[in-house]
Parts: sequence; structure tokens; C-alpha cells
Amino acid sequence: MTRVLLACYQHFLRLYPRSFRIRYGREMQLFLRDYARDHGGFAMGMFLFTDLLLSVPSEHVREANMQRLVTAAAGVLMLGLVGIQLVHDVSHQDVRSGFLMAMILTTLTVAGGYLLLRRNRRYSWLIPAAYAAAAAIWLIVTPIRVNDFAPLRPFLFSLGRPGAISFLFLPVFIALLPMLAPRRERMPTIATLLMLAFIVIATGLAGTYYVPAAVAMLLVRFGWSHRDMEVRSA
Amino acid sequence: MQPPLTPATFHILLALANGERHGYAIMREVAEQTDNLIQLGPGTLYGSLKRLVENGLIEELDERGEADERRRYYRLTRNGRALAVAESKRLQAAVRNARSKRLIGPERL
Repeated sequence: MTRVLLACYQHFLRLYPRSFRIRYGREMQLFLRDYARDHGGFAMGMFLFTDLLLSVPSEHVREANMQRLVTAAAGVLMLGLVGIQLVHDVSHQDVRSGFLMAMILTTLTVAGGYLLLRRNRRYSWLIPAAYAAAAAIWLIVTPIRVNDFAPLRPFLFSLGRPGAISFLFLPVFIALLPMLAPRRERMPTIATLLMLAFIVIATGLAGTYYVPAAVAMLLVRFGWSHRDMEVRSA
Repeated sequence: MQPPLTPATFHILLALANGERHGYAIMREVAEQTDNLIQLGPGTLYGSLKRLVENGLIEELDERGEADERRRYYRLTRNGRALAVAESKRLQAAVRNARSKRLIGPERL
């Protein structure tokens, strides 16, 4: 088990920002090997999982110097979601389960989209653009009645629990593809197309809950471009 | 007034107070200092070390060890030591305060 986990960790290291990985990757592997020697493989697995969950997003946000932007984007996102919930509450509609689902989907999609943006710059503008367009089309085409906010939601529930859980993790999985793929030239494009397909479907499923997510993604995208400019001018 | 350090940062500085250490040795020292309450994973630890180096609180030394086992060592800078002392005094004052309000018992020698 220890050997497998150590081998996997070499791949997990790709989740960290490139500069961080180059600087500390080898020592992190030595660290983990020592930890496995002292505590055993199972303990190392649990330890590793928690550490990756906490440190990978943190290093990306710090690397991009986007702490403030991400906080602002999260604020916009939450404000939008709460606003929509308020509309539903005022109209006495029971949508809490759908709201929670949409919130999870939105959060995962924003996180997944952000990871993808970092890897695939050439086509990355497509993601927020398609995201915003799909949300806008949905708003225009669908008459704004409370019951129509997410008409495809029953489809999600019809998938059953395993199907719904797989669906929730789809954007993250897609976003990770370019990082895990050995041939990076082709995979980002495929990942982008899959991501776009997901966005269109998810917008249909969760409806206008995705509008604040589109705003958040545009903010993230803007932050990334801004950083590129800073790097170039330096 | 300097804002309080995070527990992880403070314990890393403490771990380096008695000399140079590499990453895993720092983690073990921190775990020991805190009765295993704080266990720093590789990502968290090296992220913290990176920021401490950038802020001039610790410095990286040359790599040592055999070919495949070479590790980077770290040690406190003068600023890092001063910050660790300041934080220790702040905590000492807080403990004294808590003792005077009988929240904790007298110190046992």
C-alpha cells in the first residue's frame, strides 16, 4: 500500500503550482516516505488526503496572488445564490434541496474551471464566455417564473444517488484531466469541450443559479489575465 | 503591535529555535511540541516554509545528505528569532492574565 501511495503521490504533486512543485516536490516525496516509515501506509494515506485537500487550493490561490479576488468572487457568488433563494422564499416555493445541489455544482464548477484556466490559456476564454452565454440564453429563452428556474432538475434526481454524485464531481474530474494527461497538447482542448458541454447541461439543470457563478468565473479569469500582464511587464 | 502568529507558524519557528532542521524533522518537532495536536503535511509544511523564507524569518541552507537523500535545511534568521521571542512573550502575558483570573491553576515546578 505504501509503495502504491508513494507512486501515486508523484502524480498528485502535479496538482500544485509548477514553481512550487519544482522547488519542493522532491523533498515532499522524501518527507512522505519518512512519514510512511514511521507511521505506516494507512496513516500516511489519511494524512496525505487531508494535506492535499488543504494545501493544493491554498498554494494555487497564493501563487496567483488572488486571495482578495477569490474572496470577492466567492462573495459575489454567495450573494447571488442567497438573492435567488430569497426570491424563492418570498414566493413560498420549496426549493431548498435544489438550491443546495445548485450551490455544490456551482462551487465545484468554479473550482474546476479555475484549475482548467490555469493550464489551458489558449482556449480558456471560451469557458467563462460559454458559461455567461449559456446562462444569458437561458434567462432570455425561459420565461421568468419561479417554477421554471430549473426545469431539468428532476433529471438530476432521476439519476439516483450514484449518478448524481458522479455528476457533482464531473467538472472537477474534467478540470484535472489536462494536469494528469501525459500528452498535454491535445488533452486541454478535449477537456475544454467537455467542460463546455458540462456548463450547458448544468445551466439547464440548475438554471439561473449559474449566473453568479459565471460572474465569479469572469472575475477569476480577469484576475488571471491581470497577473499575466504583471509578469510580462516585470 | 505585531499581529499574533498562526499556531503552525509559531511552532515552526519554535522547532528551529535550537538549530537547523530539514522539513521532516521540523514536522516531527512540531508534533512533539504540541502532543500531536498539530501535524503538518508536506504541502502545508513546505507552503509555510516558503512563505517564512520569503518574509525573511527563516533561511534555506545548502542541501546535505547522500545523492538521492539530499535535503534542504532551514534555520531561523535574526528577525525570525526576534518574532518568536515576541510571540512567546505575548503568550506568556496571556497565560499570566488567565492565571490571575483563576482560569488556570498556578504553575507547577
